[in-house]
Amino acid sequence: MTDAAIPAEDPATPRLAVLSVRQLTWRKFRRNRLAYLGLCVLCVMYLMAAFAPFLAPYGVRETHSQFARTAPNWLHFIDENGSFHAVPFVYGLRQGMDPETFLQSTIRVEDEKYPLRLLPRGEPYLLFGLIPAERRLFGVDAPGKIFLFGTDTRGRDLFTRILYGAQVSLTVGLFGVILSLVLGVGIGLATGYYGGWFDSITQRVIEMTQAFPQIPLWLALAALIPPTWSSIQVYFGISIVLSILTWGALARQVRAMVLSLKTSDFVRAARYSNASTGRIMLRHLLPSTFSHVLVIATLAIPAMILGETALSFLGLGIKAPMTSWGLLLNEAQSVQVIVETPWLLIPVVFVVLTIISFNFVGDGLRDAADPFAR
Amino acid sequence: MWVYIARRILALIPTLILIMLVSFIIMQLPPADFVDQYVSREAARGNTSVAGQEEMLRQQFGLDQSLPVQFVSWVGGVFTGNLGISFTDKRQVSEIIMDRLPATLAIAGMAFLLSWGVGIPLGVYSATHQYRAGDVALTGIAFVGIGLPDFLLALLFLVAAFYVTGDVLLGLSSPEFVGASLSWGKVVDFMSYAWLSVVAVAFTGMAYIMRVTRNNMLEELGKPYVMTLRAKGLPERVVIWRHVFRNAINPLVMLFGQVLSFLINGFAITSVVLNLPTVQATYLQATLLQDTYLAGAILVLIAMTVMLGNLISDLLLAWIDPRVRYD
Amino acid sequence: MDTPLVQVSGLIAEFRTEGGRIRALNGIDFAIPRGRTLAILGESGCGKSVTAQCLLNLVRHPGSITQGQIVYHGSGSGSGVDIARLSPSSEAMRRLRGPEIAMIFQEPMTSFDPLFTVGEQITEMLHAHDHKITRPAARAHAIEMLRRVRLPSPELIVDRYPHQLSGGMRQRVMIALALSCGPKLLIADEPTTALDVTTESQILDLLRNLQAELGMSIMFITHDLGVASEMADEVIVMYLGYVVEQGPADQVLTAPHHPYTRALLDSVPKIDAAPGTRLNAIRGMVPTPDQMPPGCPFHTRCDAFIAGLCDRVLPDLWPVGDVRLSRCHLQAPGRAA
Repeated sequence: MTDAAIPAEDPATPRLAVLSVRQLTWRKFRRNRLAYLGLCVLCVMYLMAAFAPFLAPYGVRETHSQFARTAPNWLHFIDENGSFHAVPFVYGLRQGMDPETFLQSTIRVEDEKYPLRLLPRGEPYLLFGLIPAERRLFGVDAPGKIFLFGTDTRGRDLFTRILYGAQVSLTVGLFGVILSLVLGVGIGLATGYYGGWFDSITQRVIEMTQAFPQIPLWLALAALIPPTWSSIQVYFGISIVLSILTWGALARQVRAMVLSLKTSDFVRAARYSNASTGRIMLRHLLPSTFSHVLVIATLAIPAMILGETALSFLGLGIKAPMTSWGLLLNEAQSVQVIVETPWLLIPVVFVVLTIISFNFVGDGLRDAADPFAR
Repeated sequence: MWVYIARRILALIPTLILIMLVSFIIMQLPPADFVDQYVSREAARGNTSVAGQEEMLRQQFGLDQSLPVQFVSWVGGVFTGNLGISFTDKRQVSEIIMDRLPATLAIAGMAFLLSWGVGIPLGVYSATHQYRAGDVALTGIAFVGIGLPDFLLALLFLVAAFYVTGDVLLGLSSPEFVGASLSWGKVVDFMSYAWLSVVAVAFTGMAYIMRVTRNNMLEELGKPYVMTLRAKGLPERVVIWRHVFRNAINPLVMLFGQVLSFLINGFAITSVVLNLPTVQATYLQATLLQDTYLAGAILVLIAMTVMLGNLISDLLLAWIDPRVRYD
Repeated sequence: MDTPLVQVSGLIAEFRTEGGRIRALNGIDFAIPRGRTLAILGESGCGKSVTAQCLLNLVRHPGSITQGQIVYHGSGSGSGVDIARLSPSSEAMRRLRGPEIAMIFQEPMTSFDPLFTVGEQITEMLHAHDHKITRPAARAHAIEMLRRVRLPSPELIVDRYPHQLSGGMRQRVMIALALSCGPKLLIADEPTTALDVTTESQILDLLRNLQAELGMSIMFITHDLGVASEMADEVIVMYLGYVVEQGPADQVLTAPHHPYTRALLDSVPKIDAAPGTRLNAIRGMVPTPDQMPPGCPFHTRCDAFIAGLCDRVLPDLWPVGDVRLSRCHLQAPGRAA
């Protein structure tokens, strides 16, 4: 005959914490070590891109015409005599005849050593496009050169170009996905909720866009971008092209969820309490689809990055003076070039790392967002 | 069931025409048409003889007629088997496609067999040995495979092959075998070039198939009927392959439908990078050169394979899963 | 007294989780008599399903049997075989599942492979244990089993898929499947929990009739006291991986010794109670297995809690009278009850 109430402070009953859904999702996500690692890598990549001018020892268009096609000129701690230097240094470079191949190339001068300098003055730039600055993270005194990843056929430092390239490669995908999201979620919500002929027509249109082979369509559309457009216009053009094919899939997903949620009790309750359609859509339906949409979006980004890389690689994408990883790889298209200057393939590593990290994060989000999955 | 199939095939036609319309419009969008491009290209090469002959050239290619007329006659032609003529090649489009088809199917076919044939068993193994050394290693490989674009991998192979053998393995045959009739020697020579693209494409495909298989197997292995099966005293091998695997392949069946279009639409960029005479490489070039009929015909072919592939997927699904029935 | 069919002693099963090792079973002892029904009674999470899985050695990673014995005396070889010693995937174990010990499960909907017909699922089991059986013979046997479980038109049902049958029919098919190799022990893991009361009563009737016909033992797992009293000859009550009370069903369920059993009985609504009477819930909540209370596992919710004793010392499973056992300090030998 005891009271059924739960006692206030029963020492044997464990304290329960109350966490919001977002906190629970974040905790579960963190436990997935791969996903967490992916997220860290992505943060590093995006920070790299944001601070590109500061991190790069040279300007993006700065050419060192004497030192075209130079192999990476690394930092060393131990010199040719075996002695240790606390401050790492780079060797000097000069043009000369390679004694083995008798070809004109850049050779290392072991007598000249240029120690690493921190925060030196360099070519002025605008941080984030707004803040004028002069100092860079590291560099060496002239006439020393620090080409961590070597130089390309025109003598531009690859390390610098990769940093700047990150700015484009990492954001084109984002714009494309945001565009797709806005279109896809908006249309998905509308067609799912209203149904009728609007829905039927939209579904046919989406079916058609999905029947279209992706890469050929991207190529055809990218080829449409007039060569007279500026670099920035091309950038946005490419984003739009990339998003055209993906909004359909998003819209279908959202529509499916709306259809199943439309008849659920909480939506009906909202309707009966005279909530406006807009309010129902925004405050009730949208949050329920949010986690799924987020996962799809996260997994769509790598496809977009790959798309931009492919397009730029073929010369149909980003145009100079902007640069992206795909465009950097465009210079490494022939076997001859790769054999002579293999370091030009280094952007591949960045592309692969980014895509893998996005996949990890997307997988982790998908597992974390569903609290009832095993 | 046959009524359903017939209905699906009939429904293909309007979608097909719609796709043709959209691609036709896309082809016509650039302000300069094929003739203008041709003339300016020739002028850039120093050949100015064709300038001033635009009207005659347009008449030759049928580009002087109004757009709707061009479109209608094209659609009519497609349905009667006349796919038009390639502007750049001057041959029948159908002839060009048939020319490219064997190599395309051979490479794509081998890549498909390799990626599915290796990916599926590895995926099952990964799932049944979850988190153990083999699975961890395979998972790592899979993630690299998914992240690495196949054309870049092909490029890396090309370079590696060059370092090792000194040969540049572009294209599909050594000079002495070009145009030669089929012989054992030719096959061997073909394989010595083709392995590059096959392995590169298959690697990325295999990684994906392996992940999908693994994830589905894991999902099925957590379901209650698996315990019933074990409680029946069935050998584990039977439980996994006859039961869990068959339940797990649903999504693979959906993917299988895409294989048909993959055969002539996949690895397009790899084809270009490696100079392979495939249908998809031809399509890319035709698009860039505005060779309308050639590009259009291939696009139609691709779209058809996509839709047929979907139909095949749906039919396979109904065949495998008794819960799926179409009226 | 003939030897019991199954003798379980000191069974400990553990699960390795991110939070550490959790004990699902803390040294269980019980016996399943021949030809009779033993019910395992308890709330969710008390370990009854794990016990059933242990008997068929179906406990898999991350769980395992870490200690104890499960001796099965059915196969005629003198001292019986210790299932806990066999590897779960061994041939010897495989041969026990089906012909000797069989199991039916709670959710008939999801317990069948949806891709195979009912008949195929039965004949597959027959083939697995008798390689020489012919197709027609297996099919005939399957139809006969379906007839045995009182399914109408068994020759039609044999070619149906699980999703084409109702819940009750599916459960009958599950029983037919389990009995198709003539096991001596049938483990029923909450077989009627997912069914409506009418179907439930039919299934229980069926099980009782089959037991009488075939002379097999049944280990019946349930959380429903009414079902337990209907089906069981013997009852063991479990809580947090311990056996807390044991004895003949009619005695335990009418005159329980252990405070937990008493509380369970009290919480069942009485049909003759005056309207407006409050339901008696057991106060507090079941602790999670990683937060096992010290001493007696039930002391945090017990009305007869003795401070200083119940929260320090784990009571043994002491005998009370000839046939009863109870894990409570109130029934400790030498103590006035």
